[in-house]
Amino acid sequence: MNNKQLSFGLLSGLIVMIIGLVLALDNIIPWTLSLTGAAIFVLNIAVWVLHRQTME
Amino acid sequence: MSLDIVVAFFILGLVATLLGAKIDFPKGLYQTCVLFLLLAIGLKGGYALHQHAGENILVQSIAVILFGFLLPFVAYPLLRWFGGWSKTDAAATAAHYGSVSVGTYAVAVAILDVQNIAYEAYFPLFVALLEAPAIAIGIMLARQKGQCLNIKVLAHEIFFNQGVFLLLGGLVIGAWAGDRVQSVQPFFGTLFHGVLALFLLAMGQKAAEKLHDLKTQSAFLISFGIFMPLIGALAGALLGSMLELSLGGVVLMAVLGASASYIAVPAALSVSLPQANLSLALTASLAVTFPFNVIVGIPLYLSLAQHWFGG
Repeated sequence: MNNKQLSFGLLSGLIVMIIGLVLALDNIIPWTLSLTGAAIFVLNIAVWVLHRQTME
Repeated sequence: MSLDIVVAFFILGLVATLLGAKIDFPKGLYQTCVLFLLLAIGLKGGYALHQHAGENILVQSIAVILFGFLLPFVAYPLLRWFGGWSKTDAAATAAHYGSVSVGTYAVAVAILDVQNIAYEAYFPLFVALLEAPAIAIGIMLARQKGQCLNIKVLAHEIFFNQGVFLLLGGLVIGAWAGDRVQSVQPFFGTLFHGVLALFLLAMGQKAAEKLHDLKTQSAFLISFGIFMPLIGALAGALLGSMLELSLGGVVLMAVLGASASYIAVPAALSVSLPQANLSLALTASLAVTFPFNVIVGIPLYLSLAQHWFGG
């Protein structure tokens, strides 16, 4: 996993999470979108940490 | 918002395979389900065309084709720049995301039918029209200088592949037959949801099997496979709104924008771009985007369309 892939994953996760959060707080959509965004964010961090440990 | 019953069959197939439960789904039955769904969707759209044929459809069709040309240009730079993928792999995957998934469309139609939400019944025409443009753009983006292309073989793969041909065939038969379509309606109409449930059970199994292929690209493929459909859905919903489609029409256009092909495009690109790593595109499309759209995406696009375009 390179830095650009990590930045894409973190950015897309953050964008999806924030948009989902705003829309869910307005009761327009359920919480699934913001949870999906959070999952993308966490997954990218987890994979990046694992990748770094493997490199070391 | 409750889970639609056909989607539950997809989850059943997914969970069964992940838990190692053996469901022996005959290959012939899966193929039968695909043929049935393509013909059923085509016939329904053709019958609607017979009743509503008009100038408006021509304008909408042109806009839909342009939409199909546009989507790969959104996916390609993301894959090239962020993913660091080769020109060929990025172009092949962009083509998958510019094209459409008939399975995702069928699920969206089933959900709209259950909720009694009206939509333009000639939508299968747009599904057929959206299959081809992305393939052409994908090949154009992947083409190296001086590389020659067998247009005849490519055109054959684009227009005579099973998906496009049966969908268009159903459309033509439905438009030509008009009210005579009612004679086959007990088969193609009444059984639609049941066959879709079987198809989704098989798709759940296929998606779970593809999850094993994520491996080293897992985080990026998952991020892209979820983010890209959201961009496509937004663009599709805006297009649907601009074309003044009904609420159901806006949702279906969002679903078409969000979906990624896993049948027609791989078949066409395996001929025209044999050097491309199609497993990357197939894994993203089948193991990430299809489940996302079916479980989370479609209900989401429906909720948003109801809020913004529902009047």
